[in-house]
Order: sequence, then C-alpha cells, then structure tokens
Amino acid sequence: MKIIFFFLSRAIRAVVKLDYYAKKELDNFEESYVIKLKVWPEKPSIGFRVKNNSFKKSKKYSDSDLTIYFKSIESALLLLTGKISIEQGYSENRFLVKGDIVKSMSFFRILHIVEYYFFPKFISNKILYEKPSTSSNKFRVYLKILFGI
Amino acid sequence: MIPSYYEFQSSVKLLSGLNALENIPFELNNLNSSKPLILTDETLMKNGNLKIITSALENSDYKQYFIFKDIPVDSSIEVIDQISDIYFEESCDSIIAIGGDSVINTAKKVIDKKSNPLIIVPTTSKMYNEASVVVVDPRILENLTPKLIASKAMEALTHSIEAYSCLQKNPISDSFAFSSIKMIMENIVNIIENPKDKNLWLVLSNASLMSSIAFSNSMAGITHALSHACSDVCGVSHSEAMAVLLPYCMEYNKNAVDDYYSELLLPIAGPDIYCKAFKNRRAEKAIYYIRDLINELHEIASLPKSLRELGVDKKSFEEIAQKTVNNESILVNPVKVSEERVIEILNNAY
Repeated sequence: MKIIFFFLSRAIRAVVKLDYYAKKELDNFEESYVIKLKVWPEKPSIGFRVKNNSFKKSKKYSDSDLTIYFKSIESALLLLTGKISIEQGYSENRFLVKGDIVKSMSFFRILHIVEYYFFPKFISNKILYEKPSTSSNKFRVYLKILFGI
Repeated sequence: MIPSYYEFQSSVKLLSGLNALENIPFELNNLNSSKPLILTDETLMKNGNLKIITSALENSDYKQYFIFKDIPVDSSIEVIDQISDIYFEESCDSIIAIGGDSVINTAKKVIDKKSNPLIIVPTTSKMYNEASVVVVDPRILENLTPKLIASKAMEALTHSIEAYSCLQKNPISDSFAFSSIKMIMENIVNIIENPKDKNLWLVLSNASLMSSIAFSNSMAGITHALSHACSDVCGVSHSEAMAVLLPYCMEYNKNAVDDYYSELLLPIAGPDIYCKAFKNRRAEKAIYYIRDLINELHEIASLPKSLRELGVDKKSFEEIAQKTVNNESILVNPVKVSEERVIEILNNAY
C-alpha cells in the first residue's frame, strides 16, 4: 500500500505540473490548502499542500482541509490499482469525503486525468467514462514520475 | 443483476393512517424516552392539531414535555442553538417534530450529535428517512395548493427514477423506487382533482417516504444536481425545476440506462402499455409518458413546463453549469457530465 501511495503521490504532483487541465482544476484551491488521502483511521496516508500553483508533499502531522478516507486497505487497493473507477468507489461507499464537496469534485477531476496518464489503456478505458481533456503525453508524465525529469 | 458490493440502511419506523398520532406515546415508551421536546410552529398551535398529540401524551402518563413553537419559516443556526440549550436545560431525551421542512430540518440538526430518538410528524407530503419514527396521520396534513402537490410528487418521482437508474442502484432501493413510482403515477392526478380526500394524500406521503428511502441509499444523478444548481442560482423551486428537467435529463442518460428505463415503463404507464410496447421502444415510451404527465400537471396544476416559465434566466446558464459539475450527485450519474453538456440540456429545456 505504501508503494502505491508513493507512486500515486508522485503521479498527482507530476500531472499537476505538466497538464494544463489539471493545473486549471488546481486553481480552485487556495494557497496552502491541504488535501489528504488516508486509509481509515489514520494510515497509511499521503498529503498535498497547494504551493505556488502546484502540489507539494504536505507534512505528515499537519491538519487537512479536505480528507478522503478509504474505509479499508482493500477498498483503497480497489480504487488505486484501477480495479474500480472513482465513480464506482463512490457508489459503493468505499471512501468518505470530509471537507468541502465542491473542492473534492475538482480533486476527483484531477484524479481522472492522473488515471488517464498513469494506467495503461486497457485499464483507463475500463475505469474512465471517456478520455478527460489532457494537454501532455504519457511518456513525459512517466519520466517525471520515475526520474523527476 | 446484483452489484458486486453495496450498502443499504433504513431504520425508520412508519406509522401511517387514521389515529396514528395517538400511538406516539407508545412509541416514546418503546424508545425509552420519558420527556420529549415538541418542536412546531405557530400554525400548528393555532389550528388545534397539536392538542391531539399533547392530549395523547397526557392520557398516557407523559405529563412532562416541553413545547417550542417559535421556529420560523427559515430556521437558522441561532434557533438551533437556542433549542439545543433548552433541550439540555429541560433534560429532554427525545424530539417530536411536527411541521414542514423548516421545523423538521431544525429538529434533525438539534438531534444530530445526540443518540436520542427523533419522531417526525410531517404536515406536507414530503417525507424523511432520518428519523426513528415517522407518523403520517391524515388529520394533520396541510391543505397544499395543486401546484405544490404536483411539484412534491414530481420531486419524489424524479428521486425514484434516478435512484433506480444511477450507479448506486441496488436491489433493495430498487424495490422502494419501483413501488413509489407506481403509486405516484397511479394517483397523482386523482389527488390533485380531489384535494379534500386526505386519505389519497396518504398514498403520496407513503410514496414519498419510499422514494426518500430509495434516494438516500441510491443517490440521484444529473436531474437532482441540475435542479439544485437552478435553485441556488436563480432562487426557483427545486421541485419544480426537477419536474421541468426530468425528461431532458432522462433523454441525456437514455443510451446508458436503456434497460432500466424500459423496466420503468411498467410502473410509469401500467401493464397494458408495457406489454404492447416493443422491447426496444420501452425506454423511449417511458420518457414519453413522463412528458405526458408533466403536460397534464401543467394543465390541471399550473406546473411549469419550461425553464423560461419557471423563471430561470438564460444568462445564468454558465453559473448553473459550473455548480452542477461540482455537485457530488454527478459522480453517480451513468453518463459523464460536463459544463458544455449541461448548457445543452438547459437550452433544450428553456
């Protein structure tokens, strides 16, 4: 789970840096806004802080403005490995959102873009209703995730 | 088909019908409550209906209760805080809320963080799934205008249709949704034409509760999100906006949920029409009969048929679209919702 969170965290930060549409969604969050993804009750977890128009890793024990709680590790795995879509996960109550719902919708749209870049086509075709608007390419995103280039 | 995983919750007990109010003390006793706080508004105090409940309480040795009757039409956090203080000061251990939206929503907020029982006695056909007990007695139902009856029925109908066809659907909520659609479609015109027959209203109240149970377990989709946005931006009635938008949103979702709409032709139009319709035309027919109902309600109850009639300004379309895509309900809509597509629906419904 920690490995998945590690790559997811890098993927989200990379996509927000490289993709125009993800960046546009980021505009809906104020500076220093903190978003956390946690497996209930507390860990494992990852967090992001909005800083200078991008996502930075947030400090481990800082408070969050928006938290997405996965009910169990199994629920988190289903979503984060592309076995089910965000929509299906929401429908099945696999996760709970604590915080501003409107902001969470922006974050979900960022996750849709991340899923498109991050997963191979046979998975993204299955979990995305349709291809989200994107402006970068998978190769660049992978380079950024793996090597930070 | 059964979903790979789903959750369902409904713990509400319903008392429906004649003399239901007199059974409230028995329910309080079942819930281990000894001192209820009664929340209501001035109207109920004036028309004497509250007396039925207080007499029932006193006849059953519930001599101790506290009445708070100053809930305004638009309740506020101050009112909720004031009632919370009274609740503690008077050592109450349950709430009986009698009234419309404002009274009941206030009661829900007061009881929110306590594990005490809440008994709801709605005076409109709108129903609530979040109580320990819901009591519907024909004597206490208000005289609503035909337009209000029609719009409340359309709200329940929309919630049920969306609960039945959106991503969170499950076999248990389906059964509530399906039955409530049947009850509404069979009775709505009759209720409007015979407004004095309070027993007919019970049908609508029951259908509304069933719709509420379905909808709170299988979230509604685009029609719900879009109507909320119209209501937020233009201040129009949420229920009336739903009535206007329902057929357009059904058209929008149709290809993704053709099978579900086909099944719904049975409660919407009845067995004769269902059997005569070709299988591949049933979904289309279901939408056709919903339009037909809206046209009829327009004639007999002056229910608006278009966004223009409803009072939605075309200039607000962009803001409505933004609010719609930020509503969590669209996560369960079977077709992806974007701002451009919402504007298209709004233009069609204008």
